[in-house]
Amino acid sequence: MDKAKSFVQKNLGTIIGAVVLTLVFFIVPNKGVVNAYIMKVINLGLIYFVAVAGLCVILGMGGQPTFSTAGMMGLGAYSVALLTTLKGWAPIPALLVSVLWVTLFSVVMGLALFRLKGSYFSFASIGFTSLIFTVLTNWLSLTGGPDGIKNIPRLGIGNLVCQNYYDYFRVLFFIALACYLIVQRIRKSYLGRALGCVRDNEIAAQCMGINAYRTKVISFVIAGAFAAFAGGLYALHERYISPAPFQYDQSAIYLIMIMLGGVNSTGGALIGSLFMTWLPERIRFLAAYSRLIYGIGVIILMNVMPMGIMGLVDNFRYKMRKKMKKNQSAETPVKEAE
Amino acid sequence: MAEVLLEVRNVNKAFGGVVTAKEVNMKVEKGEIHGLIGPNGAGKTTLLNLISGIYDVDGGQIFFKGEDVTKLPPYTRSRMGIGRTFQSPRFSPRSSIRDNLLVGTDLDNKMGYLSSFFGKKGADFDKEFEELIKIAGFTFDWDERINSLPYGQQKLLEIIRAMLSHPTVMLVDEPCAGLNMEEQNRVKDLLNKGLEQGMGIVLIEHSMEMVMSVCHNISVLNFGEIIAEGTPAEIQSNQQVIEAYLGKDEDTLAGGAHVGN
Ligand SMILES: Nc1ncnc2c1ncn2[C@@H]1O[C@H](COP(=O)(O)OP(=O)(O)OP(=O)(O)O)[C@@H](O)[C@H]1O
Ligand SMILES: [Mg+2]
Repeated sequence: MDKAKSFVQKNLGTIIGAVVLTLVFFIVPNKGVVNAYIMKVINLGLIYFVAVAGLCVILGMGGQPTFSTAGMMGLGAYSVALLTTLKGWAPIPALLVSVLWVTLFSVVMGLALFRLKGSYFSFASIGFTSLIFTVLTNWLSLTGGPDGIKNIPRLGIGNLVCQNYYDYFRVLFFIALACYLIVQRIRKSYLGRALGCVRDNEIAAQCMGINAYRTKVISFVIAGAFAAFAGGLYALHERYISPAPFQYDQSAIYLIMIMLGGVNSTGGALIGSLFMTWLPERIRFLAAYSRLIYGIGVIILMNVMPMGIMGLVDNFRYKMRKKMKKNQSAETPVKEAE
Repeated sequence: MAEVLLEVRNVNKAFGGVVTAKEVNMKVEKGEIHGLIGPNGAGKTTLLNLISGIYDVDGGQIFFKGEDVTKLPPYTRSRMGIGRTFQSPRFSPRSSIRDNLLVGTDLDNKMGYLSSFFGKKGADFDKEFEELIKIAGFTFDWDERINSLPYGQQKLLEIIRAMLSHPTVMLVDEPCAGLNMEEQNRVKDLLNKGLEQGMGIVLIEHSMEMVMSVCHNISVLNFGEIIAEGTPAEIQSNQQVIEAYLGKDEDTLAGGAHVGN
């Protein structure tokens, strides 16, 4: 009995998480709960989260602000679109192959971009994304230019095909969950710790045996893989793509997503992704001012809560723990540590 | 004679016009604490940076266990076994104490990113750490952020992080600056523990009490030049050293806290 109790206590977070996730999975994708339009917005939020999960690694852990996300997504999306529409590939193989080659391409780009230090890296990543956008827009014979590519097939395997946004949600739910778990795993592994060292003090990291350049390139490759995957999903979800969503200013939105949620938190990244997908839909009537609003929003955000929503939560928990400990030690005499 | 672990041979380094190392020679043997003293700006930290590879030498060579490491990048040198601490602790302030220190164990385990991702566990970190923290003489919460600890404890933890990686040579830059007497004694105990494990240690320190009591040999730097080398007794009675360094500043002689950059 006691054993069962302590098991529950120890894994309380996991148990609550599992219950909530199960409820979400069964309750949310129902017409009576959310309409098709909201379902679509949530799906997009989950797709963006896949890309932002990559930012959790390169920016959150590694401290390298990159504007390459939209570009890598664009490559993933166009690759899936072309393989399925031109070559007639099935969606899943197209997705896998696209992620694979964009990941390899990220190795090359990462090696090149991290020759540059600090903000030079960020600026170069803007150039990189602009370049991709230019190619997507101007290579008319292949990409269709600004008109884009239509009639991309639905996501599915064989006869199991997503028929509507609710089906898509059920798939994206597990994809997002997997991405979340992967990022959490990285965070708790050597790569996460090494990236933290590189972020805060590159010299100290090198003196602890960490190859800073290689470590940063690896984080870029992981971010590239996540972004390409997100791009491919985007193409299969929207079923029509044009170059517009793959401009570098969209990369800035992804950065806002992770910063809003909290740069150090994967859960925060999910919250930020969903919120920043929902917000523009909500304030559509202000679309002309959206950049102004985002700009001001970011300035306020960085001042009021530089570590985002989860940063606030963290600080609160930290203070509570300290308070509890103080009370405890006031009540019981301190046990001498062995 | 014990094995020579580290040898600095005719090393030169200048920043613009400022010469910070001029034909510097130094040998560190297994089981010795080698003191590196000299006035502010003499080039002590620079020499450590040259040894650990943060700066490239302008001329000369650095040998580690007989192997020329002069051209190797810093992460390779630390993987080979050159560990170090910094004049002011360099941690990831937002990361937990555990994550900050585990990096030392990761290095010792030659952990790879992939194997760690797939759950490979290294040597028993907790046991070794417990032993070291007992010497350091304080306790804390693992999951707390490292910058919530007092400065002195952070400095002690930085030595522990280096020790967790089991370096062959450990470079320690002013471990006692800003520490109280009790903490300074803990530093001594940690360094002695390192010697027990067979390290060679290079110790930069302004507290003469500390230097004279723990070092086996001492090199004195002044304007990038080694002006004397010998046992503590020899150094203390060396006229040139007294003029350049020891005699000048009563505070340093008294072992007063000196906080550098
Ligand atoms: N990266 C650098 N660029 C330019 N000058 C430097 C650099 N690093 C050190 N110096 C200069 O080299 C000289 C020696 O500095 P160093 O830090 O090695 O002195 P130190 O002996 O460690 O002094 P302290 O006791 O104050 O720590 C100083 O004049 C310093 O300004
Ligand atoms: Mg110094």
